This record gives sequence, C-alpha cells and structure tokens, in this order.
Amino acid sequence: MRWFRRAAKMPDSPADPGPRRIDPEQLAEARAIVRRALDAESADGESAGRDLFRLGTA
Amino acid sequence: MPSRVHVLFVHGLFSGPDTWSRFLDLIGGDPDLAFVETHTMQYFTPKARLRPDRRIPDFADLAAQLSTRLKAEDLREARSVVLVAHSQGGLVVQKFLASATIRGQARDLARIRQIVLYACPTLGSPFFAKTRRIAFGARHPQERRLRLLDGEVFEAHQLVLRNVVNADAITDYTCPIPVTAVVGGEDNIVPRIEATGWFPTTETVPADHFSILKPAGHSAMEYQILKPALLAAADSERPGPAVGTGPDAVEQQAIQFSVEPPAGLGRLRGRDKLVNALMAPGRSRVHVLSGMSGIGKTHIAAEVAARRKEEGWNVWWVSVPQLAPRMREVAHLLGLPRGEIDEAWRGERSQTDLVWRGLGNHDRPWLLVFDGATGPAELGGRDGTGWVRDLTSPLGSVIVTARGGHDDVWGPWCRIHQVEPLSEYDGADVLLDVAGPDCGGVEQARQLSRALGGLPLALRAAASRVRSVSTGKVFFSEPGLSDFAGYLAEWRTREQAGNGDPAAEAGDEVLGLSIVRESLLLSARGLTPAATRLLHLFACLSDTAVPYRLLARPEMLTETPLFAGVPIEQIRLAVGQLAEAHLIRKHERGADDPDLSEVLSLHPMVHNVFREDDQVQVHRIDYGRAMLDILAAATENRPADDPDNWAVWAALFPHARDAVLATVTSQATSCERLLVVSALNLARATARYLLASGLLEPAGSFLDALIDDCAGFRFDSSDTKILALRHERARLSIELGRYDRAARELEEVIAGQTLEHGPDHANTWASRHQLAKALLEQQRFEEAEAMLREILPASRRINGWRHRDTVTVWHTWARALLHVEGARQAETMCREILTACEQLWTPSYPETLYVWQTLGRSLLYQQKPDLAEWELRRGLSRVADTASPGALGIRHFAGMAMLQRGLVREARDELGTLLADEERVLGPQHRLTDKTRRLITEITDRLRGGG
Repeated sequence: MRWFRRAAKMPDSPADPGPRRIDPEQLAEARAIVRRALDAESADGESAGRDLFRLGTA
Repeated sequence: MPSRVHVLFVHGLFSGPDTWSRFLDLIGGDPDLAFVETHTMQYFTPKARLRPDRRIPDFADLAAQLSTRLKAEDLREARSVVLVAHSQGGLVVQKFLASATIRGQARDLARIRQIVLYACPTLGSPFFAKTRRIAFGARHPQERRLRLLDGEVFEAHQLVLRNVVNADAITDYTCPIPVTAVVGGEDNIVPRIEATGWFPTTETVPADHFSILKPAGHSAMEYQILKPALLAAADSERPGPAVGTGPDAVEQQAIQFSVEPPAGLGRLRGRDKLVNALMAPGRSRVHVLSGMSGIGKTHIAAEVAARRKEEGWNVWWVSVPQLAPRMREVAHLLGLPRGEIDEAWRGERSQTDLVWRGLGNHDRPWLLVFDGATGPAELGGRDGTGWVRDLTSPLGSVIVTARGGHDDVWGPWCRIHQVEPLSEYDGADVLLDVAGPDCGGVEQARQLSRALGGLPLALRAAASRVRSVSTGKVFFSEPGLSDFAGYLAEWRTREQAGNGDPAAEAGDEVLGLSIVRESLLLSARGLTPAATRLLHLFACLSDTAVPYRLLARPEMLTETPLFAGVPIEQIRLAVGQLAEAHLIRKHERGADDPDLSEVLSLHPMVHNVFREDDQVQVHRIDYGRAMLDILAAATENRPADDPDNWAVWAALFPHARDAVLATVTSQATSCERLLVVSALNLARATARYLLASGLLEPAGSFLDALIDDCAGFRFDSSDTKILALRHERARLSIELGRYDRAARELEEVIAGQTLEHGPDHANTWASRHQLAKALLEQQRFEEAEAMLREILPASRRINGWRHRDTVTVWHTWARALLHVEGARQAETMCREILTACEQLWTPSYPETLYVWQTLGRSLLYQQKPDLAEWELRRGLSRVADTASPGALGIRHFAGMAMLQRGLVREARDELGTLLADEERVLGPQHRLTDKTRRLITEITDRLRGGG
C-alpha cells in the first residue's frame, strides 16, 4: 500500500523536474546501470514478464 | 430297526452332482447304512452366461430351488432328511434355512434331522478374489456371494445361528437342527476361519477343497464325520425337538429375541466426551446418536449400556429391525400382565402405551436403547405416542442410534449427538487395539487411520484383516497386508486404480472391507432414485470438496440421460436427503460467490464404495456423460484465462481432471467417441486454467497422460483434439523454459493444423503465434518479429480487431519490436493496445498490466525516464493490489525509471520496498526478486547507495 500512497503523490505531469538537482556524473552512472539492466532483460528474452503475466492467446 | 433316512447332496460353484460320486459309492457299499437313500440336487452354475435368454440364478433362486427339490416325489414323503453340501452349496442351504425361518415356515424344517457342510465359505472365500472376479465378471450372481463377508450371506448365517443352530423349540420361526461344519486342513480356497463361521460344531480333516469330497474309503475322516450324522438321523429313539404349540410357542418365540446389550465389541476409543454427555444427569434424557453407517453409534451406546448395568440399572437393548418382538420381550421383563401384552400384540390395544405405562411405573433406574433406526418414523413418529417419548419418570433414560436425523426430525425433547469420525490418533489406537502391536507402529497406524477417514467399522475391519494375515490365519496372495504400511499401500493402489478397474472392485475383499461396503450400501437403501443417482455421481467425482450449487443444478441434471424420468422436485430435495442420511456432509465456505459458498464432501469410504458400486459399473456411460455435462455447464462462459473465473476453476479443476482421465481410461467409456470428444474439450479448458494460474506441474502430467496415451482411446496424435492439447503442452514448454521442445512441438502442430484446417485458420495462426513467442524467448528476435508482422493482420481478419487473441498478438509484436530497434514504434503500438485493452478487460487484468510494463520499457529504451515513470505510475494507479504479481512487474520498471532520472536514493528506497514485497509474494529465489536485489546492490556499490 505504500506504493499506492506514493502513486497518489506522483508529479502532475511528466515534465515535472523532481525534487532536487542531480549530480551529472551520478546521473550518467545511474543511466549506465539502467542500460545494462535493459540489455540483460533483452538477453533473458521475455521470461520475467511471462512469470508475472501468465496469459496468451489460444 | 432304524427308520429310512434320505440324504440330499448339494454341490458347489461351477460343479455338479457328479462331484458326490465317491460319497454315493461309499454309502451304497456300507452295510451299516442300508437304511439310507441318497439324492442329489442339480442347479445351473455356469462360469459365464452364454445364452442371453437364460440368467444365472442368484442365491435366493437357488434356495427356492432347494425348497422345491425337497418337495419332489422322491423326497416329499421323507420323514427324516439329512442335507449335505459342499462349498457354495452350503451357502444355498443356509439361505434356504434362513428364508424358511423368517417367513414363519420353520415348522417345515422339522424333518431335516442333520446338516453337514463341507468346506462351506460361510464368511466368503478370499481365494484369488481378484482373479476370480476378473475371470467370471463382477456381476456373476453366485460369484458375488463368495466375496468375503458378503452382507446377504452373513445375514443368512446369523439367522441360521439364531433360529436353527441355537434354537430351543420348533415354532413358526425357529427349528433346532444340528449343523456340522467340516473344514479341510489343507484348504486354501476356504480356509478355517471362513469355513467355521460361528458354528459351534466343527470338524477338521486332512484334505483340501476338492479332496475333501474324495474320501479314500470307509475309514477316511471325511466319511467318518458323515456316517454318525446319518445314524443319528435314523435313531427313532432319539427325541426330536420340542414342538411348541399355542401360547407357549408364542412365548418361546419371544424368548428368541434377546434384549441384552451386545458385549465384546472391544475397547471404545475417542468417545469419552460423548459417553459422559450420554450419562450426565439432567433434563435431557432422550438421546439420539446420529451419524453415518459404521461410525460407531452402536459401540457408544453399548459402552453406556455396560456402564449402566454395572451401576445396577435395568438395561434393555432393542434392535429396531425386530422392534415388535423385542418390545414384547421388554413388556414381559417390565412385569406387565400377560393378558394385556397378548391383547396389545394382537392389535387390540396400543403396544406403545402399554410399555410406556410399564416404564413409567418401573421402580429401578433403567435404560432403553433403540439400536439401528433410520429415522423417527420407524419408531412411531415424534408426536409423543410412539416408542420414543419425552420421559416422565426420573429413573429412566433412552438412547436411540440412528443413521439420519437432526433437531427438526426428532421430537423437541430429544438431544441429538452427531457422531463424527475418530481423530487420526484415536483411529490409530483402534487399529493397534485390534491388530496388536506387531502389525506396525503408531505412525503407520495413524496414516492408515487417516486414509480410512477415521471410520471405526473400517478401522476394525482393516485391523482384523492385518491381524489375520500376519498370524497366518488367512491365506492371501498379498503377503504385504501383514502390517499397516502394506495395507495402506494396497489401499492407495486400489484408490488410484478406481473408476471401473475390476481389480479395484475386488479390493474390498482383499482388504477385508466388504462389511463396510455392505453396511454403507445398506444405509443408502430407501433413498429416492434422484438421491441414489446423485450420490453415485458425487462419488464418481474427485475426492475433494464438491461445489454442489454449481455442479448439481437440478435444471442441468434433469437434462442428462442419467436423470431421465426423475422428477425435478425429487432432484431438488436429493442433496438434503443425502445430508440427512449422513452420506454426504455440507460445509460453509467463506466465498463471495454464492455458487462456491457451500460445498459438500464424502467420507473416503463412501466415496470409494459408491464409485465402485454396480450401479455405476452398469451405467458407466450415463455417469460419464453426466459428469462431463455438469462440468461443461459449470465452466460454460467462464474462460479459464480470465482471473475473475479462477475461484470457480480452482474449485472445479480436480473434478474436471478426474472426469477426463476416467473417461479416457475406462474401458466402458473410452470407445464412446462423442464422450471422449467432450472429455478432450474439457481437458483443454482445464489445462488452460492450470497454465494460466501457474500450476505447471499438474498441467504437465495431465497433458502428458492424455497426449502420450491417446492411442488407448483411439485418437491419433494428429487428430485436431490432440493437436489442441499439444498446443497447450507447447505453451507449457515455453513456461518451463524448454524453448526448443516448444518450437518442435509447435512446428508439428502447425503442420497438422494446416493439413486439417488449412493455413488460414484461427487455430493454425494461434499456434504460429506461440511459435513466435518461443522464438522471442530464444532471442531470435528478427524471425519472431517477421512472423508476428504476418500473424497480426491475419488475426484481425479472422478474429476481429477487438478480439482478445488479436490484442495479445499485437502486444507480442510490440515486445518483439523492443528488441529490433523499434522502441518508438512499440510505444505507439502500446498506447493503441491499451485503448483496446480498456474495452476488453478490467484495468487489473494481467495482460493489460503487461502492456503498461511494455510501454514503460519502450520509453526507457528511448531514454524518456520522466514519461516512463509517469506512465508506469498511471498504470499502477488503476491496480487494486500493488503487491499483485503484475503490479510488481510494473514497479520494477518504475524503479528503473527513477534511476534513469538520476533519483538514486528514491530509486533505492522504492526498490527496497519492492524487494520486500517480491520476497513475500514471489519468493526470495524468484528471477524478478533476484533482479531487483542485484539492481539495489549495484546502486549501493557504484553510487555509494545513492547517498
């Protein structure tokens, strides 16, 4: 439910810059982590999603 | 000079009069027996019925034939008759004697002076029980009676003991005749315990089942036993039995009906509370013990009776099936005037008023037990004028044992005690008490007690069998039955065989549970046809809870051939009737869906006995049809893929699975193509539920059983119905990560479907879609994407744009695009798909949530983290439960979006909360949990924890 409450406080629009300034170096490293995670996702095929959304057509 | 003696020889099963040739020769050549005239009886006992116009006579027929044989010209005038029988012939003789005594024709038996039974299976024959039934068929009417402890045979034996062997005088209902049971010491077909029954006079000779009829000469023991019986029958000096006449005879007859409580029932276990309640002083002194057959009501009442006797009370035990003569005996014992008793029993005044007057005036504490009632009607109703009344005397107490009943049925002055099955541990104590300590430990006993559902009758029967086998008293081809573990293994084998396997039917005999079966079948007598059929139908279902409001809808049942001609009103009342007879049990279940709020269950013994009953075996196709029809009706319009229907499917799938497997494996139904097609349709829906809800292992074994053994029910692996199941098995392979296997199976399925339906058919395209998914998993992204590009327009054309299958294909294509540099196209596509999802499904529907996740991913690929987080939260805000698996998937990518925005600390906090939820919901080892954990570690290591 914590997530749900957080969701209620989400920014009104996607353009909202967020609560504070971000260190550019840290930002680059964070984005690199996400990139690697997305690549790993790709290498996994669709497995993770399949576990959570186990449905399909006939 | 001895008078003439006529000996009538009665042969056994699958035999004939020739079997007596040796005895006939010996008697003919014996100068001491010149006064003996020999006769034989022949009857029809074929191994199988070859002529459809001729039926195999059952025991009642054979007993009637014996009665007629005794009236034939050569025996009609005989003043002294001796009956000699071998094997099954002895059962015919006992049935004949029993019939005569209960019909009030016992005086006709007076000329029978002696009876000698050679190797007669009075308690049934265990020999090759399975083999015999398989060889001669389950419905051979003579073979059936040879089962161990067959109810009809047992009843006849009891009547013979009471009205013949132990009788004192000749009356309409009794006739004392000496009976000698001869046992072959080497007889493995009818061993000692079965042959002696409870006959007081038994002899043992060194012979087997057949050589017992071939005495070597006049000195052979087999002959030496018969000869004195013939001499005694001829002894004119020997006084015959006293012939009762007039009032003495009536009195003599009454004395035959004892009102003594039964003794020697063994130690009562697990019933202390109940016994205390029955003995507690207080206002309620009319107690009704209510419960299913075999639950131990009589034992509890007998325990109270014994304790009261010890306290000096007068205790009268009245067996309800012989209510009138036993109550007459009670009237005598109460000291009521004989003239008034005679008037009452001649119907000139009220019997009940007379006895209750006596009870009211009795000056000592007393207990009256009515044992074996089915309901109050049998005891004269509940209006206070019948045998059971509210007590006025402070000295009295009444206990009724009854198979049916609740507060509304019995009078308001009665206190109803529901007798429940024993706990596992009390049941284990019963097993150990009866079998002794050498047949297994407490844990083994506990497990067996649990399997037998804590039913005392079954526990005692099982323990007796184990003890008999372990002490070598009974010959068995199953030596494993010598301890509880072996017995339990045999029980489970039989349970799994179930539904129509002849070996399973014979299991009751091997396991010594015939008495339980007979007792339960007896308790179902008197049910309406609707209740009887419904009980058998429930027994054919799985042994889990039955959501009967869903499955036993009267409107639905009335359309099945099984219930043809049964009034719907009778069907409506059937469940209530079964519950009242304690043959089923209703439970409340805290479910929102009214169809699921009440379920019923069957005791394991009831389940086993009725699913193997002849009613089911004879009408197996009708029962199979009814099972499939009610399951199809219950699942109609409830697609297994939709989580909204999972509660219903969760309750139904064990029944659906068992019904399908029973249909395709049973010999009677597996050749009925229409029935098998219905079963395969249900199988597919069931497999889809198992897959969708993640029950992968049961889905696999279920599909394998059907596909791999399809030749057994005359289907080819390329038949469309089997192709449909193989399609589901390929989906399962994808779920299990066996992509190569999935792809191989799908290629075959697609080839088969193309042959059958052509390439442009919904099913062919559906299998191609699954193949594309398998390729996607194998990271053959370009191939998969190209296939999906082709499949989507086809699905739109065949199924329509807003069809669930089309939308799912569309989404698979969007996911494929993510991997082929098509993230922007995927984003656009996802927005369109979401519009379609809104029209098709609820916001929490798993496929909808999956599309939200793909939309978020497509934005992350495009380095649009703000928009990604915003969209993911938008999707999440529509979910009722943010810890549901689908929501967890979205939260994972929302955390990544925060990280891509550079909100390291917030991302770490969010992912920390997510990890806790994932560990709880998905498990600590789950792939996604692990991914979240690794992401947090990386944030901590590389970004100093975001601080």
